[in-house]
Order: sequence, then C-alpha cells, then structure tokens
Amino acid sequence: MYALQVKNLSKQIDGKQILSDINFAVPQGEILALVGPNGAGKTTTLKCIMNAVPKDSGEIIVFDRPFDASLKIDIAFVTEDRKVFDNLTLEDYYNMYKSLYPSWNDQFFKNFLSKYGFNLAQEMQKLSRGQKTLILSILALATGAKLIIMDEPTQHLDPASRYELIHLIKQYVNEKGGTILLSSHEIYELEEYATSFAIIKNGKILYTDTIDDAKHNHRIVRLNENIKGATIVAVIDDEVLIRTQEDIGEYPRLNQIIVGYLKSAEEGSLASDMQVQ
Amino acid sequence: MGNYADFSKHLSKMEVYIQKELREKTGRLALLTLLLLIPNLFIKTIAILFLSASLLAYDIRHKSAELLYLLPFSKKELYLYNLIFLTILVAATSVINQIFIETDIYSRLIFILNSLTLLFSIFGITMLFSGIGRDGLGWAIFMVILDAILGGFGSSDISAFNFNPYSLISFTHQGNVVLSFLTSCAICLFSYLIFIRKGGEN
Repeated sequence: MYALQVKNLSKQIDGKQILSDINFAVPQGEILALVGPNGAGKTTTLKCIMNAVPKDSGEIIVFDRPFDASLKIDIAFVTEDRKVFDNLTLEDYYNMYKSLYPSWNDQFFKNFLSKYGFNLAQEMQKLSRGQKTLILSILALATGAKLIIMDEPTQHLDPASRYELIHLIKQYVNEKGGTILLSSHEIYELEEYATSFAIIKNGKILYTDTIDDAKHNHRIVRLNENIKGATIVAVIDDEVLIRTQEDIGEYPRLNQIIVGYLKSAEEGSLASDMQVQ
Repeated sequence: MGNYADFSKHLSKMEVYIQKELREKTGRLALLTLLLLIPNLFIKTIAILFLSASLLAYDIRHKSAELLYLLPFSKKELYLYNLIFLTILVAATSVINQIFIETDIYSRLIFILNSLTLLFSIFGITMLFSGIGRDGLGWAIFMVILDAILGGFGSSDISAFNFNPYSLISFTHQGNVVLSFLTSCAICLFSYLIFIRKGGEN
C-alpha cells in the first residue's frame, strides 16, 4: 500500500512551468528522498502535495484517498526556510501542535526538550536556524502523523544533531511504521536512511526506484569496456553509468546514480536513445 | 453525537487559530479593537478595513499563510474562522457602543446591523483580492472610496427625482438597511467561493 501517490502533477508559476507531469509513489513504511539541484521543483512538489501551493493539474492520493484538507491531521510538514510564526514561543507551538494533531506523542516531545535543554518560554523566531530545524523536525515527529514531509531536514544541523535526527527518522519508520517523504541535496548521506528516491530536475522526474533496485539495475564501467546491449545513462569522468542487469563492471553507489541521471538531463541525452553497439 | 464531536473539533481548531493570531498580532489587534469602541461608523469603517487586512489577508500578503496551510487547517476553515472572529469582535464592540447611548432597541439593532454590513463587505473584498493574489488592503480601500462616491450621488428616496438605486445597496451609505446587508452577505459569499476555489479546494 502506498502512503502517497503523486500522479501527473503540473504547476506553472508566473507563466513558467515549474512542475511537469511529476509521478512518484511512496510506499507505506518507507523513506523516499526527492533529490535534485536548486530550482528543480522539490519544494514546490512538496507544497503542492499539501495544497499550500495549489496544483494546476494532477492527482495527489494519500493513503488511497484523493487529498483533501481533512487528511492533514495525518501529515506533518517541515518547511525548508524554517519560517515560524512571529512572537510565538516554543510553548505556544507545543500547545498548537498538541491540539491540532490527535496522535500527538507528549512523552517523545518532552524527552527531547529535557535532552537538549530547550526552554518552553523561548521565542521560536529568536532561535538559530539549526535549532529551529531540530525543533520543527521534532515537533513533526511528535505529531504521530502517518506521513511526514521534510524539506531538507538535515540542512543547517551540526554533525551531532544531524546524526540524532537521522536516527529519529529511522526509528519513526522502523518502530512506528511511519512514512517519510523528504527532499535533500545531501546525496552522500541519503544511503544512510532513505529506502527509495526520485531524481527531479527542471520540474520533471528523471528516475525513481528503491535504492536497492536502482543499484541492481545499473553498473559503472570503464569508458573502453564492452557494454553491448546496455543503455548508457551518462559518462562520469572516465567511467560510464549504464542501465543493465548484465554481470559487468561494478555496482554503483547511490550518489553515482544520482549524479549520472542529473548529468544525463544536463546534456539532454537521456539514455533511452543511446544504445551502444 | 457525531455532529457534536465535529463542532467541538472545529471550536478547538478555531481557538488554536485565534490564539495564534492574538499572540502574533497583539498590539495591532488591541489598537483596532479600541477604535471599534468609538461609536462612529466612519471610524468603524477604518478600523474594519485594517482589521480585515490584519488576519489571514496579512499573512497572505507577507507570504506566511503557507505556514497555516501546512498545518491541519483547510482554507475554508481559515476563511470562516477569520469571519467568525471579526463578526464577534465587531458585534460585541457595537453592543458596548450602544450601552452608553440613550436610544431605543430598534436603533441599537440597526447600528449593529450597519456595523456588520460594513464588516461583511470590507472583509469580503479584502479576502477576494487576497485570494486572487492582489493587495487585499489596497483594493478594499479603493472599493470603499468608490462605494462612498457612487452611493453619494442623488438620493436614496425612491420617490425623489434624483433617486440613486445604488445608494440602497451601498455598504457605506446603506440607504436601505436590509438590502445593503443582503448585498454585503452576497459579497462575502462570493469572496468565500472564489477564495476556496483559487486555493484549490472545492
């Protein structure tokens, strides 16, 4: 069963096509990372899912139901800009989230407060960007929502907090059966916690798969290697990322697959046309 | 039972929203509420103009409404919470105004209705333009001035030679209390429908 399905999502802003037929699905109990460069359409996609930015066309299916605002009690969201309401303290936020989300986990939130020594009287807007990132992520995880959407969750975090948050994200999925959709630039750390990914560029999904299947279906070979019948994705320095299940070359790392697809889109040479004889 | 649970849930959500607004915009809301206490429809008009533009319309103008849309609030709910809060505020201050004025109950009710007519029109216009991505406050000020000019021509007396039918439904002139109130309700309803439609809700 899918926690979220995005079908043919399109969005234009000021005449510019920001999203173009976006399709991907997040199976329940998994972590899907939406990866891509700045301006690729990651944040707009996430906001369209919540209807914070109204879509032009397409379908958003959440837990097998077309999205409507009543489903938001089962979805928590962490914004990329970490914007917060003016003059509200952490206590105001705590009370707000506690009232709005029926599955709120008070113990989880209080454990976090005591661990990091946060003061409930602190004004949210006066916290550092890193502190806001951590608190907003913890608030989202404490909602007990079945689906959490996090826009660049590890950005601005120091290594210790980053490690802690990744641990909490994994715990939320593995122990509580939650589902996470996140966007990230940090392609080197994704393998630590994501189970599947979707590569987005210029408002289009270039490739989406589970990490295991993506590795299984690609190989990294040397430039002069015989790759008959394989589909070239991209040339990366002196190596080639190919799509094949033949037992040649090496299995790629996730970052090589991501870079390969981004590069292929850059060169306008998506591999489907590049069969090597 | 289900209806009571739904009602209670909405009341609790509205409370969360209003508390957030009061916390965030304390000074401005307190000042404008004080202005509403002055028993003069011109001052009330100005106070309502700025009050209408201080809640959700302000957040839309300052690109922070998205924070609300990402929480479990629908755009319909937010519109209605704004309208209910402002209706209570305007009605309550109008009642307080009337306590200190020696007049009959009919005139008191008319004054409250006059105030609500102003509110529904001005709030409706503010939200309508905010919903389509324009400056709600700017357009509301423009429409108030336009309404005052158009309603000011001629007479609202139907038998007068210079009878101006618009003055009957004008929300600033309110030549006919019932007609102008109904027109205001229609503006508000139209604004609600456009706001939720543009916001991607049915």
